Amino acid sequence: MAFDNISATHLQLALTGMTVVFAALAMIAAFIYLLPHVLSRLEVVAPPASGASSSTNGDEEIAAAIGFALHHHETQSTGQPGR
Amino acid sequence: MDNFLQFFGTTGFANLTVGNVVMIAIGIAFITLAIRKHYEPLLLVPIGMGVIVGNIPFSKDMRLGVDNQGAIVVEDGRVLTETIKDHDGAQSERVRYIPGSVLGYLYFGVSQGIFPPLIFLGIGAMTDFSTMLSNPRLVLLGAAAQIGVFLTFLGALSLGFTEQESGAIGIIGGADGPTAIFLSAKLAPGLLGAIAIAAYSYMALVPVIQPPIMKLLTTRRERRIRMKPPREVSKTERIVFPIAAFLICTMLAPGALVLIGMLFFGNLLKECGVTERLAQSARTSLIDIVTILLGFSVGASTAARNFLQRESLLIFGLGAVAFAIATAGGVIFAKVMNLFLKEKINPLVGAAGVSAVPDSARVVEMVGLQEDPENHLLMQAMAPNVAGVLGSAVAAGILWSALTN
Repeated sequence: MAFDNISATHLQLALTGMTVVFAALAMIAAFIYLLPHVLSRLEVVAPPASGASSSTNGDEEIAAAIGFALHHHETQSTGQPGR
Repeated sequence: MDNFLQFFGTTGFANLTVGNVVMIAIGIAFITLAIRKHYEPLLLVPIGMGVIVGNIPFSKDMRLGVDNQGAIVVEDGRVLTETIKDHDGAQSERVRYIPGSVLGYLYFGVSQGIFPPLIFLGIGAMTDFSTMLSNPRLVLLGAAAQIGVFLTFLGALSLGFTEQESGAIGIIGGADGPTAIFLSAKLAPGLLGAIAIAAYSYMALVPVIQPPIMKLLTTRRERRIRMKPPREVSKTERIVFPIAAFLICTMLAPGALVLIGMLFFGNLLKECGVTERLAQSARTSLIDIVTILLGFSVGASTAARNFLQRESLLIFGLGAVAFAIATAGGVIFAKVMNLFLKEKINPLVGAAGVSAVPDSARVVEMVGLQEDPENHLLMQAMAPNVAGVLGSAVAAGILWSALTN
């Protein structure tokens, strides 16, 4: 091994590199830490529109509509709620 | 008889070297390890078969290897042209072009760094950052493990490698195959085969390399530390995170733009909830196709005459050192963090800071369970594990920016 091959510039690059990696991930960590707080503040200032936070997708909505229609039909024809 | 001898001269048997035999044996060993030991089978089977294919000797005139990527003919500094006739007899001039081989065209995706970002797209589409979002302090462990990259960079310089080669070798410590391939393609294309094989070999050997280092650096009491389960993360957090983290990483290290960009693009496809089909394609068909092409063509680039060199052995040695330092870096940093934290971190999760996802997290779980069968650390280990992917991509970006000519 020849440590003479390692110049001050190389050491500087290694140190800077490590620092930048740490800085990037530390900033991400700080951002992650702050994110829920910022989002909860935003919800107070601008609350989400009703229904906007609904997690149902298109299929679930269609299934709910079909379910309602069947229930309505059975109630109408038998006078009793379906099973 | 002459015809037969002439034909025999073109066969693999006539041109086979000891090096080819050794490499074919290595290819078979990779396939055997993948099938019998389940060591990274999705990578080792394509690479192993590629190694076998790349070491079948053929005559130079056949132009079958990965080196033959097609070329324009130049003579005395002038691009040569040729006249061609179309079906109607009309003549036109075109540049004289020597077509490449099929393997050469497949390898183009490796040599130009196209495949690694596509793999990152798929990884992004399958990665759940929730564990990281629920425990931000564990992100730093992913940074600590990158010390392996930069110390190995210095180690490679001391062994006589050039700056560019040393940067490419150092990234093996990031334990991320696509990143290692991407950086080698940019900085040291001549060492790409050796670096890729070393990186994937060590990733496959995570369950063998990491546990002794983890046990050596921790006490039994530390290994039994229990950590809080991760909190539930909202959908909005998961959608905002890839965009914000992309901006943070690439503003600091623009060299990581392609890898990090594709990683977070894939993650956004997964999390936004309106592109499920695209996310599904990215994490299944796309990543599978690219993995096949990448693994096979990297394997095929390991022809004995290029691969069985002193440099390759040194790269394998440095890769092992890089991996060990990265593992130790993560574990030691977790212990240092514990000096300042009220809620202690199990230092074993530091070992997951190397980005071999999810193997190193699984190793943490396994070593933790050996000490306390009820202490599951997998979820907590996934946080530094995915942070390690970011860390190694940022490290690659820094080395690329600093060392590119």
